[in-house]
Amino acid sequence: MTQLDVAGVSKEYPTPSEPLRILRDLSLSLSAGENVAVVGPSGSGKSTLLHILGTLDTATSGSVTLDGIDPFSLSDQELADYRNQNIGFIFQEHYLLPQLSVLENVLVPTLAKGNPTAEQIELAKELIERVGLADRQNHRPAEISGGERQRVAVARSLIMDPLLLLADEPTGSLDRNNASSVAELLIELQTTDQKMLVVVTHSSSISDLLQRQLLLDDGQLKSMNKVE
Amino acid sequence: MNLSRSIVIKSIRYHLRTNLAVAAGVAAATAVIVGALLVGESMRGSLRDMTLERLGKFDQVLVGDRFFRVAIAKEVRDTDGFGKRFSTALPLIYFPAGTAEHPDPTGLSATRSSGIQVLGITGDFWKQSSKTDLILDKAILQMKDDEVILNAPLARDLGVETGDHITLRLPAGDEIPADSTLAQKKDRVRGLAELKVVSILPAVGLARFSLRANQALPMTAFVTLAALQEQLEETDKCNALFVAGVNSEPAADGQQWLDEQIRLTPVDLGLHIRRHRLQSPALDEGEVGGADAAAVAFDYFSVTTDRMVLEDAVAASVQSVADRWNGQSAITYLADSITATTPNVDSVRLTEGIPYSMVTGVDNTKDLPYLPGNGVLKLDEIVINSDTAERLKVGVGETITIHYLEPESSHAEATVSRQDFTIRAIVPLTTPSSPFDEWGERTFEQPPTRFNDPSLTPEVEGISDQESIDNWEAPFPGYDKRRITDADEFYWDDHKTTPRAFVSLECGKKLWGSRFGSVTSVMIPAAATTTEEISERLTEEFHRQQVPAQIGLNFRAVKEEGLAASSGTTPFDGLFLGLSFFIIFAAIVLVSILFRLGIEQRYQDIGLLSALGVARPAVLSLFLREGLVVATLGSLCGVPLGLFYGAAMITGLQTLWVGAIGTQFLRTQFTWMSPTLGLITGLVVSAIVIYLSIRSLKHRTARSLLAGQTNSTVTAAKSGKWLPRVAIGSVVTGVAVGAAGTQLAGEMQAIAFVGGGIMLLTALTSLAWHWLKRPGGTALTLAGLAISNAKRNTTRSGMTVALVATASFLILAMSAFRLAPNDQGSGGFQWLARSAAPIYGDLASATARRAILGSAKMPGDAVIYSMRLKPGDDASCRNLYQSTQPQVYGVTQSFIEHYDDNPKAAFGWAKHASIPSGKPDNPWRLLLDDSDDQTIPIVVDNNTAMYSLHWYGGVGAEYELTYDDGQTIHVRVVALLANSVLQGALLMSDANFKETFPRVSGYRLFLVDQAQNDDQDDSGLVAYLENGLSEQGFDMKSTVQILDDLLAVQNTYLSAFQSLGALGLIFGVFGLGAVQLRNVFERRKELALMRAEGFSPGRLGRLVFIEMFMLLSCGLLVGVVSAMASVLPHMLASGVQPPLVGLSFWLLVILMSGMASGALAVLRTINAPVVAALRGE
Repeated sequence: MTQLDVAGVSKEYPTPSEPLRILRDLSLSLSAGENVAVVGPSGSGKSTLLHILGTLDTATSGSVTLDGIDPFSLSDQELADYRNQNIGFIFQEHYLLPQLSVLENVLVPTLAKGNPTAEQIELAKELIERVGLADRQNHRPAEISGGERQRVAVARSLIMDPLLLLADEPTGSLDRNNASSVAELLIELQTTDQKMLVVVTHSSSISDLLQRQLLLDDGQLKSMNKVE
Repeated sequence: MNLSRSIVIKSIRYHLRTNLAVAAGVAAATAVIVGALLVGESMRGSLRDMTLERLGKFDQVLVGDRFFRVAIAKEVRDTDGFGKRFSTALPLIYFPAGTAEHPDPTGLSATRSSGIQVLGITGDFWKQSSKTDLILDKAILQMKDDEVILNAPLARDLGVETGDHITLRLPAGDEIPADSTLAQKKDRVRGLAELKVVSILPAVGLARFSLRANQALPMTAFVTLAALQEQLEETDKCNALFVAGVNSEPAADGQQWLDEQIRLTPVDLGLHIRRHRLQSPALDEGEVGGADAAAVAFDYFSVTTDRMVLEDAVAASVQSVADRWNGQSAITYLADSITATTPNVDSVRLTEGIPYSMVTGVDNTKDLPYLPGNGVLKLDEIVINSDTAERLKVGVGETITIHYLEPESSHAEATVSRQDFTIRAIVPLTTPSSPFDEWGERTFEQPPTRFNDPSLTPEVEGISDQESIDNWEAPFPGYDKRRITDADEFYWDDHKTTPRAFVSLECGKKLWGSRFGSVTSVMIPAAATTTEEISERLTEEFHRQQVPAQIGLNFRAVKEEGLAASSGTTPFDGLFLGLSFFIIFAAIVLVSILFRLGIEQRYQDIGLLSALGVARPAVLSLFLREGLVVATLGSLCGVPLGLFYGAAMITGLQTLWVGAIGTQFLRTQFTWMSPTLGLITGLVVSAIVIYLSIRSLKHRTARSLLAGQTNSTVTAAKSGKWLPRVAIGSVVTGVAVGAAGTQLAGEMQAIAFVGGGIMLLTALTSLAWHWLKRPGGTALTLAGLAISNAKRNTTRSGMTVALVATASFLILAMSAFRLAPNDQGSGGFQWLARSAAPIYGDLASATARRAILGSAKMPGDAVIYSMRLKPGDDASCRNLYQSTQPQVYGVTQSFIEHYDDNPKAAFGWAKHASIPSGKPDNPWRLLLDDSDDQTIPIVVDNNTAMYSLHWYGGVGAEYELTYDDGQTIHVRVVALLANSVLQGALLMSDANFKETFPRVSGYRLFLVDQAQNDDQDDSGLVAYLENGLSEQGFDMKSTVQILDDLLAVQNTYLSAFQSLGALGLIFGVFGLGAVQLRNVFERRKELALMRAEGFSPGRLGRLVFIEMFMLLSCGLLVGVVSAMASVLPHMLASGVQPPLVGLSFWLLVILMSGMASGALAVLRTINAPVVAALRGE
């Protein structure tokens, strides 16, 4: 079964005085179809943890394996391929390319292997329809609302059929109504497609929608309420 | 769907403003490159066009220093195969250096133009012109013998109009070389007086005809061929053949074909074949039995020359032909006296001797037997005739002395040498019963002997043609009639130039041979052959041995040479690329800055793509493709702009910078090469810059890119330490280089100081950059805030400072290389003069001055030194054509020695070989170095060596040169002059010059020092020399003026560089304004916040303005300070004044431009809507 295993991960930043420890000996496991919220105050290291899980950053110590693979042992090209095929990102700022249409933005991850195939284009259209933007696929980001842009980001994160979805404050820039609808959409898609989902958020209304809530405090993860 | 192409195209459109700015930068760089290439192509094309225009249809030219038959032109035309290669061959008389005079109305003075070309032509000449409109005028086509056509430059110089009358002065032809002791020194110039000017032609087409590749307009006079033939007494003769091609391109094998086909006869070489026969009176009476050979004293053909001595190449060929008939060579020379050196037995020794006698050097043969059997005279043995023996009262075994004048003289004085001989035999001389009559006949009652032969002596005008020895028009110095006795007169009456004595041929050659030759005649027994046969065989032998080529009678492929030379000395495309360097640099830096700006805007896009798993190379490839498309569009736009820029440069060269090229001959012309090459180069350079701009992103993490971190924040910690080290190191190096410069001089000093300045520039720029990198340290004031803003983006701010500093440094520091005339350039001489006709006597000698000018003393005790001149290409920077046959000066011993005692007045030297210890510290003496007999030591100006001849080997390097007379010389550079008035030529010692160019006689270049009193009015000196030597076309020019003209070329290029550099800086400053605009846009939120907090628009505008002004001023200050450190020391030392007004103007323009461009950013700031800005819209 597909599994995300995080074992003893620590992250330190060097400073002129003594190293600044952000994450301390942190462990986490997740299986396909599961989702978890990581909450914590500002500066607690939530985004750092997400970046390590997404291989955008490296841990000072510890290991991360996804589906049995340690991504940090891969070469740069292998790592890029790994990330492209196994991980989907949803950022707070959505990072849609302003000059491309909705459809083209969803297809951007396919560029890693050249131009999108016909199947990928069909899949993109399906995903756009699933996020409720079928009639907007030729619009540019400036021509849709903030919530709709984030939906596009959700669809983009699924185009490569990844094992793991990582969302960093996905609703941070949205109003309450849009936030909850985007969060619900994300969870629905994740559950339906049996992905693993880690959501970093500081919103309790969002974290309450997920199966587990983990508090990142003093560099360590603590369960908030659910039984493991 | 091609998503990547869609991304590229849509990104270009979406970020259009930034991309347009990048495209503009690429367009500017491309435009400058295209423009520079266009200038180069136009220059080459214009030089080529000028070559084709000035030569018309003439392909090949033969110009000799002697006259030959006009009929040769027809012979050449009638040769099979001529019509395939050529259209016509014309005979002309051509003089490259004559003088024209136009008397003023009073007739008391005249305007003179010297160094003019004179052509004696027929009407067919003009038909070979490329400008056919010139030949429509009847006055031109049917010019009369007393008329002249001038080209406009000559008419302007003389100040004449159509209808005026002028006089032309030309060297007389076919004479004994003037440096020969027995040659006439006077009356060597012929004048054509009262020639009416019937037309003044603009200097186009053949009216600007010249055989020398030079863009300067020649001064030329055209007269009829017949007029010159008559005046020079050369009926049916010419000294030049001009051969016209079939079309404008020269025939491939034309020169070789002509040299193979042409047959020059002995007459063409100035030779005479005469029969000399003297027979006994018995034959005259028709004695029965026919001619008795024994009664014939002598009967032979002699081959002699108008030049008295046969040139070595000619003599060898004639002897080679004569050998088949047992002919023999002889040299007959004038003995100043023949004296007995031992007292005779019977009477008082004739100590005075016999004056002015002939002695012949010839070998003992059966045709000329003066010794029994096959006896051979030793070098110190002599045979005298009976009259001489009787006069001197000497006999066999006794000693006599021959006193003679050295065969070469150059000071209007000759050296007397002597040689003692032992009398080996006395030969009989029969006294005629009647002496020579007015028809040259004499009568013998007793049989004459072989030794009664005056024909052994060559004909010398003024001597051999005189009735009496007393009437000699002796050309040699020291002739004293008082020495002539009655006995001498009687001898003359009976025997004329019959030799009194005979030595061996070897002895004669050794004593009386010269650089002009060592044989006066070749004798061929008449019984064996005929005049016609001798002539035919000589013609063939001359051709077989290529004798004409050895004496300068060969064809030159002038059109081919001219077209080859039109590639030019200076690659103007490279030169203008260099001059426009800063515009290109500014454009490239702007492309880099603007492209990087665009990239920085899209860091998050790059981070996203990386986060999504698109490999970094693939991501960067997208941006590179986008950049290439933009660069391509920019380059394409740059091509038409480049044509405008090039045309503007050409206009500049025709007007403001005409000092660099001399005349306004340049025309815009180009092929597809310039635009294509410029386009490709601009594109490639821009592509490289764009690639380097994005390459730095290769190792940036996706996370940092997503977070929008710039290079500055990432690399600030790393680079903080090395900048101060660079600064310290640069200062130390700069001080050392500058200190070294104080020990140097001239250009080397300038280079050292500029090098020190560059080090200072590097140090100050590094310090400025280091300061920009250091956070904090600014006061909480508006200015302090502006400074801290500037520090936020170190790379942009640092590049701004570096760009402005470098540009302003370059513009100012180039002033260090401005040149001004000084004593080191003129060697202490105030005047440099040239004469059109040679002056036969070294004017440094009082004797020569007395003989030539009538007085040894010069006004104001001025001093004059003469130099010989071998005509050739002007290899100075004034001539844009490539020089392959530079003119050569022969430097006299007195000139060399002048600097032994005047080291302070010496010429400046760039470099010279080491001077042997114990010798005077005078590099001119290196010309006397004869340690290597394979090469000729020469001195040459460094500018001539480097820029005109492309001789980069420096002192000690050896080179080979071939001149148009076929002569090849090997030279070795022993010293290099620095910015001297002697640019444009090679200098060798007088002795080497005479040996290398034996046919060049006299002096044509002079350096005059008007002596000690600088306040003295020199007009008297100028008038004295120019009037006294007016016949020779003596023309004096101030050395200051000459140096100004020479130095103007380099100074003009410096001015062009400074002007273009300033333009480049203005361009760069405006571009930086665009960058500042971008900065403002990026900070719109914080600026809007400050507005929300109560800052007035004006105050915010001042903030932005101060930031830009601070960077601009910092850059200018760094550049100016560094430049001053470079320029001032050298200028103080050399006395050159920098063009402060011009430079200050440009700096002010740059500052104003910067402030104007910054104003755009200020306006943007003031007018930005606050709320929208807070929202980031």
